[in-house]
Amino acid sequence: MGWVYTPGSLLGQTGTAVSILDNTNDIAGNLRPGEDGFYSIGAHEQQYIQTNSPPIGGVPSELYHLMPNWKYSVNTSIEFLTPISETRRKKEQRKSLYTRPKRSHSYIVTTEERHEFVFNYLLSLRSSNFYFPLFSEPCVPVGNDNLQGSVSIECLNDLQHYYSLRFLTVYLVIIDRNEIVYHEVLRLESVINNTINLTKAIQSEFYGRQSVIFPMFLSQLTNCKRKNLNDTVTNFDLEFSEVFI
Amino acid sequence: MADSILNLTRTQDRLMIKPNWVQPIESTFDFYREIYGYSGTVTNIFNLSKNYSHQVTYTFTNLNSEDEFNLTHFFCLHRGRCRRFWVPLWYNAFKLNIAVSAGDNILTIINNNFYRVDRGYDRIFLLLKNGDLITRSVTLVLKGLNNTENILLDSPIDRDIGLTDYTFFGKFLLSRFMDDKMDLKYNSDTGSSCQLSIKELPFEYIEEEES
Repeated sequence: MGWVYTPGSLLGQTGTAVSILDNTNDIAGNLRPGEDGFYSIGAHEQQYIQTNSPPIGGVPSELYHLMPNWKYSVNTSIEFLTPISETRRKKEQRKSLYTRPKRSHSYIVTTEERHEFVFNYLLSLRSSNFYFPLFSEPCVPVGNDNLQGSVSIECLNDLQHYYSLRFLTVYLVIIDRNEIVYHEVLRLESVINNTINLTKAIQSEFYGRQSVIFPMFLSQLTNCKRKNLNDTVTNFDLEFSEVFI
Repeated sequence: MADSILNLTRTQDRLMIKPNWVQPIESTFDFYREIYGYSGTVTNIFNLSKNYSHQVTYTFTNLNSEDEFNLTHFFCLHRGRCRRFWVPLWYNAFKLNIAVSAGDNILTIINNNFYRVDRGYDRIFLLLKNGDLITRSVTLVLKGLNNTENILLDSPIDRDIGLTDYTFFGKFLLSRFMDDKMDLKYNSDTGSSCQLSIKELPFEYIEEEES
């Protein structure tokens, strides 16, 4: 059994920011994330709209965080835009229209029992931009200390070689591994060696290796394919694209 | 000794990351021609240019985040298809027939029909077993005696090279990425693989030399 869901039209000219034209508004109905607080925290209508600049530090914000199933591969794409003018004799002129790459991410989420809940959540995401954690660049803090009040977080990972984190990231999210809905949005100031420096101290309680930090980018859901493996287990094949603002 | 990188002119960027041979290296060439003809009639070839363009597809495996960073950084630095760089064809296109002495500007290789397709601006590279890279421009290729060819270089080789002193002896191409998109496929949060195609820019060798 397969479902293919195509979001509303994307409006945008080549090399510019993209807006979403929600041409199927009636499908969404009243289904919004966060109805029981499991997949999203405090996703109220107003916050749902104001996703272009997430509130920093302990304030609930709209955040996508369905984690990938690593049994299947996770794919990240980096894309530029270069129109090429070519003469009949194959001489080329090239012009780059993006000053920074546009990222997209695709992976599979596996759910058990709650597949309809997740499906409706994804359906509700179709007409908004939201911040998306880049799962391929996890940053795990060193030690088990409480990170509350910290502005510098030393991590176990090789942060100097995380391209998105170093060159393309403004916002980060810290997530509690045991309780994934428990998160806080952070703003990145710099990455020096294996230390992340923030513009503002962490306000909530997060404990070292029990937490994980991901870079985020503003994205749209561009493809969602549902496969019911049996009457309880479902795979969602998801694709997200970065939005330039 | 150190690298001896000559005749690359203005563009100095080099993609020297070695591909993973588990996935075969695929290469083809652009014909630069059109074929005119109607069904059931004879056909004619109209050559658009004397040039030809190598196109090669490599699969890169990143075993850690440093490998991935280097590849991603190179791709972003060249903005996908926009900017040109040098890349080696990672297979042995040539085999030395006579050892090279310091000061030689003629390489004698086993005949592989290079003289038929020499364009007058090809670049070659030698990757020595000690890791040194040597690049030179080819000005002329002549068919030699006893199944050999002689490659005349723009600048002499600066060291002795024995018949078994190198790991790669092949073509060095002025190229760009074929696509604006780079897909990284992660099998874990650190290990990823990526397939990239590269297209040679035969018309831009001349621009390089003039600039």
